[in-house]
Amino acid sequence: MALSNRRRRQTPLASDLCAEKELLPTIINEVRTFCGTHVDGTRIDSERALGADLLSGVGERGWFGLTVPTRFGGSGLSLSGATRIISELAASNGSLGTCVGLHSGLAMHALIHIGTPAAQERFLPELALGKRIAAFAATEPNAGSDISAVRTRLSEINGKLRLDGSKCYVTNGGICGALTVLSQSPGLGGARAGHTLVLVDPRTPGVTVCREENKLGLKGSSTVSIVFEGVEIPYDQVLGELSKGLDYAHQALSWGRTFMAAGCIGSARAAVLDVVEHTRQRQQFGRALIAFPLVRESIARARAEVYAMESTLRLVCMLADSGHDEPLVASTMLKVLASEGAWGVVDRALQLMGGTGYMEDACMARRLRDVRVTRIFEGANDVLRVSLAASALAWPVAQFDELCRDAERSAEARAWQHTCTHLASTISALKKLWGVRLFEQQIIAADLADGMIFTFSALAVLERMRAEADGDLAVARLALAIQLERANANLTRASTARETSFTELLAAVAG
Amino acid sequence: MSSISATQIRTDIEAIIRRIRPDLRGEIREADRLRDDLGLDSLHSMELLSEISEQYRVEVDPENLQDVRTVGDVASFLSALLEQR
Repeated sequence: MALSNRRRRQTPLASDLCAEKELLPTIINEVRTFCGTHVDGTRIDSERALGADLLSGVGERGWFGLTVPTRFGGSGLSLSGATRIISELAASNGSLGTCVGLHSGLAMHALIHIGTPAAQERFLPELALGKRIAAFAATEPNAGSDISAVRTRLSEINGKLRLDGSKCYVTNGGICGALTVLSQSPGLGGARAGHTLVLVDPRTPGVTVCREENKLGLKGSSTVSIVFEGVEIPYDQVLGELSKGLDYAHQALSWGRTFMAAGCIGSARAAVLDVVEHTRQRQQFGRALIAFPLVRESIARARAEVYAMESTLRLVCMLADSGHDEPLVASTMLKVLASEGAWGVVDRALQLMGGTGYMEDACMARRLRDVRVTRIFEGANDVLRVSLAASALAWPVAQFDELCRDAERSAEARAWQHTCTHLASTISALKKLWGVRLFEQQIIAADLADGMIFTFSALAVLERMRAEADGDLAVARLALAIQLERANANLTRASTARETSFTELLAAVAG
Repeated sequence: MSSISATQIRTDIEAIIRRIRPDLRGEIREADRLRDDLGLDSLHSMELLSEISEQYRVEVDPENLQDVRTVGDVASFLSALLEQR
């Protein structure tokens, strides 16, 4: 599959990865202990802030420096290692996981990978310690999913760079000390309609941070609008090349989506633990809830869902850590899978907990509110599905034949191979029927995208089964079966012509 | 041989681009890069090709679009498809 563009970039050394693998369990235990004593979700939500003490505690333990290279005082962890820690933080509290995850992923990606040495020296040491927190500003009132439509403008006047415009829904914006901003930059870098990423210190004259938004969930996570009026940008705070900002933004989003997915997985995993404990203890009709078949099925499916999400994150991290440059398609599939999966798991867990689940004290309500936005931010899932389907049209079908031929001969591998062949034939058939006009057939495109996502996730489960000889085979097999069932159902739906009368009805009712 | 003139093709492509990006100002030139000069990202480009495909009733295979980067490339690509019809 064309899961990434194939440029190679610097990867963690094998020796570093081994050391990291040994160290991670200790760090994870430390995170759990810290969160157990320092994180009060009720306090965070009621104050609508994580609080200086909590942020300071995270910073002192080095968890703001997960992805910062060691030469700047960070841990320089691989994507695999960093996302595991984010997952643990999110399991404890969604707002905390979002703050650290966004800082470590999307917000610092450009500075770490394409920042000038001067900008890196100026900002990264403090970012590693949490003395500055990173944020990423792209969204504007007229530019959400279509970030190329941003109007915030970078101009060059009398030999100086100047930023004017405004951004909304900036996560971490109210507490940030380093802000990556996507701006249009017409005429700069030899491009009439280019975009440029710049790093802004919010203390620079002309930057106004507006009041905190009042959100449905992630109440402890800072979300603000920011206005830029004649903000002078030092040339060494241009990230990468002038006019290439849109490409860099997509690369940062690709990176950031793995952290977001890690957060979703943490929330889902915590929800499963809570619901299992509840259903073991709670008795109705003379039995523990967990004895009822419907409850057991729900829990089994939730466990399998979490296993599939974890496996997919694992595969995407492996791709990234082994040098595939910004696995754009893979991380997009992961983002949709994890956000939809987490919503489903947490919603079902709340249902199984009944009235208790609906009460704030049980924490499931907060978890549900917190995960809801993950289907929206960093790319609304609906748009991402259309984008995924469009990308598949350009895949050379021959690559699929290669993948299917390479599959092992175990029963599970043959089942995946069958689904992969189904995917290939569905893409071929849709290309033949619609060509690029598939872009306009969004309902079909969405089904195709889901077929792609579940096929990819099934591959990830298969890879994990191979790698973890002493792993939980039952949950792995269940996860594989469910993902393949979903993949095939979506692919069949994508390639089945709907009744014209039905589509006409849809159009008429939509207005 | 296509009965549609190169000028007509050029005009049609420009009209589609302006529909997709109504905020575009100024002249659209043959050498303009879809991404860097006209701000068309991958979804916009797909929309452009979809509309061309619909308007001209031609089949566009996305696997053949690797070298289509400018307005002129789009026009040449379309002309070639129309010649084959």
